[in-house]
Amino acid sequence: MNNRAVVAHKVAIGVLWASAALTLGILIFIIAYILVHGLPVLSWSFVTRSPTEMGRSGGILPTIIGTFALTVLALGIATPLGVGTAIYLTEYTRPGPLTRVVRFGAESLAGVPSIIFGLFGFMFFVIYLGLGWSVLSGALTLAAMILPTIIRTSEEAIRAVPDSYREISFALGGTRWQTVTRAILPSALPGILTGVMLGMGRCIGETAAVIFTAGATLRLPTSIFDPVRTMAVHFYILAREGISMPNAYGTAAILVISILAVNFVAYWLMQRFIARHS
Amino acid sequence: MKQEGHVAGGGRRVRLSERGVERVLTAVALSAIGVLALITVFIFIGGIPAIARTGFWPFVSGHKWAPGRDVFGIFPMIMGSLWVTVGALAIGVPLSLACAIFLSEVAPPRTARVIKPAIELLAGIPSVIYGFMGLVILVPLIRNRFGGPGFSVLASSVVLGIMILPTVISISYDALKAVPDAYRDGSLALGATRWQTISMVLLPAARSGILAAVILGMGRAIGETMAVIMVAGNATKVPGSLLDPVRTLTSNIALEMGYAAGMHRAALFGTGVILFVIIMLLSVLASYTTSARGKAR
Amino acid sequence: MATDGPPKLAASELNYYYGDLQALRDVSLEVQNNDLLTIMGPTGSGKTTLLRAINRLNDLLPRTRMTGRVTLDGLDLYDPGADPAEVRRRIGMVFALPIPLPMSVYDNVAYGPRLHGVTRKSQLDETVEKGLRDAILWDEVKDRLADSALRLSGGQQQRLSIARVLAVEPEVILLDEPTSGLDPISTLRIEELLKQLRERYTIVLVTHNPQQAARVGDRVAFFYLGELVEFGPSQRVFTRPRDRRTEDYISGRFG
Repeated sequence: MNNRAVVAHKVAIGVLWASAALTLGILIFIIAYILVHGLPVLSWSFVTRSPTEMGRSGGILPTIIGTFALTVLALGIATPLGVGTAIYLTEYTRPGPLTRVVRFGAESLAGVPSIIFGLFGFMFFVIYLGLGWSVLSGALTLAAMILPTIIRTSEEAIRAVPDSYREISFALGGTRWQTVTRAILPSALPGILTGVMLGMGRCIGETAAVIFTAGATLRLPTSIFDPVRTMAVHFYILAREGISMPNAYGTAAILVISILAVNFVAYWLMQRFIARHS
Repeated sequence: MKQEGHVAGGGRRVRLSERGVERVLTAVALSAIGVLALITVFIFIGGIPAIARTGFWPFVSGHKWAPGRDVFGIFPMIMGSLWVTVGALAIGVPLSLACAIFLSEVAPPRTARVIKPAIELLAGIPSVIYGFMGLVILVPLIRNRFGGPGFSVLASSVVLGIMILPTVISISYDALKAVPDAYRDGSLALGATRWQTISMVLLPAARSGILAAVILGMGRAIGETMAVIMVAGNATKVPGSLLDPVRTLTSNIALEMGYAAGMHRAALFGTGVILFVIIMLLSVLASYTTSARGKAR
Repeated sequence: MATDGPPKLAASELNYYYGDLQALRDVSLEVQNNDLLTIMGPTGSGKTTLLRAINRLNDLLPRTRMTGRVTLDGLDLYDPGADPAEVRRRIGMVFALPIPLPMSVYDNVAYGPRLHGVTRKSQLDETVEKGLRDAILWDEVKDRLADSALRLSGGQQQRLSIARVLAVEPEVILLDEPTSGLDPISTLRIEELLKQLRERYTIVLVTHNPQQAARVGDRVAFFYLGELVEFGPSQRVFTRPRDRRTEDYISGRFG
């Protein structure tokens, strides 16, 4: 071995460390920047009052409620579909043409950009089904968007459940569905919830798919047929139209804190899941 | 036997409901492909009128976008998407690969346990936040350092380059991890340094997985909307340099959907059709790359 | 130990294939009511396959094929009208490794009864206690029924597996090398337990250990490479084996 190879090795390893440090640095910088500028803006009235003057002053209550309503409804729609698909793929079928079609659908859907979901949601839910700009239209669009994430994580979680649990349940006279609901799903639950949390994070942060389907009104919604503005959309409008930088930062801070919380819960659940199955 | 009759009856009932469950699950499993089909149909229904009226070729090669006069040429946006995507890959891929190699080959386990979730968190940050950071940090920086408006191909490329990191890192990481340990041991045993092993053995062995990662990262960069809008400047002109403003296919849609109607709206859906076709081609390409790898093994 | 009369459980001319591999060759075997049959043989002799064919657990595996008949009380278990779930309830199975489901001791034993529609708390309590008592585990766990079953010792976990099977009131119990993962003392306790259970159940015990077969079985069957080589009362098989391969096996010359 010559000296040049050793030098090249040292330089290369140094570059690798630097790259990882840079990536970590970018993350920390973004979070710190938003929190440093946003936290001072936050107050009780900021989260409990409605905006006035298009958001120049006042709080952001309707956008918090809007984000919450959209996210909960979207998860409520996507979770059964996603988990059901995962159960079908893992427990009810063997690899064949049909599973290839199902997988192709999920994988392709995962690559579709959110603006396309926005266009589709607008054309299909808002116009064609006549749901208008509403919580329901937005939630259905988001559900379609996060469906692949939930399918993939649920499938992985269910596959990680040891076969012995299935055998025990079957050997006691359990039917397939009983085995799924009583032995497999409880065991796969933390893994499935991780996927649901990831989907939740995407719903909270999404803009392009909801702005054309849920609308951008600042009024408080009274039903799922009312239009709403989410925090992400509100932040976008405040920042891009330069309506109020402080309020934009405040909104961004709440957005980032929610995302952090969701990711920490997802991470914690994942650790629990791994601990249980190893 | 007395018990027997009871048993058979119960069995039949259970089996019937089992069959019902199976049917419901089959229907549920078709939801993803169903949504994909609906998306395809409705995007095309929305976009075909404009493409048909303008003509496919004039639509994709026209340099002029003037909705007020019903002139729809999206060539500048196609070029815009291409520019920022290439820029994003140029910035994001080397950094991603370095991180993936670091995580899989170099990092002490404890360091890796911090970096991996951090990268996942990077994927969770909303695109509007990325765009906003570009707006308040990058755009002024570029304006002051290099001149021009600051809203530019360069700013978009940097923002997108960062945004594709999580995708490219995690998939290349998986590809590197899938290389059997025997390759590493064999190379090190021959007296190669760790870096020689990485560059001469591991990267070639993982190349199809890395290629798939790059393709998927490309898909993310082309499809990203809100972040690009905030830093790109959005002029409907083919950019002449890295410092020129640029409008992508995605931002074209998002910028004008709010007020578009009639043929204008159809032209935006037409832009969506082109975008959707590009994405689907990339998606097929990526799955072809990974399945080719599966067969090679 | 009745030798005459109709058998409780019978296999006739059973052939079993995993893809191209034949795991059972023309196996015919009868087990009388309240009999304890031990099946012994080296690894790969088809013992486990036979058990899994009897309670139709192999239905779940892809690319398997079976010919021949398995009957319980003279009724064909593979009859199109037979419900596999019900077959499995009537023919319980204890696996080689003691694997509790990831839930409490109580819920493990109550799992089976709940599958079959028992929901009343008092009835469940009763069934769980009875199952645990019959598995000689009650005194050790009665104060920690709500604890996770994963905290029990290996031997306790295996008796819990037996309790779990007893709780669904099967007629036949199949045990697949239930002591292979246990220490000698736990093994003896399981063997004692089997001798007690024989009074009320028909039992088929698979073991790779001829000493165990000699200790607990009324009758013994010796399998080799998917074939039933010898079958008869333990006493006779162990003292005067008719087949050379049986003799080699019980004298420890292979396996």
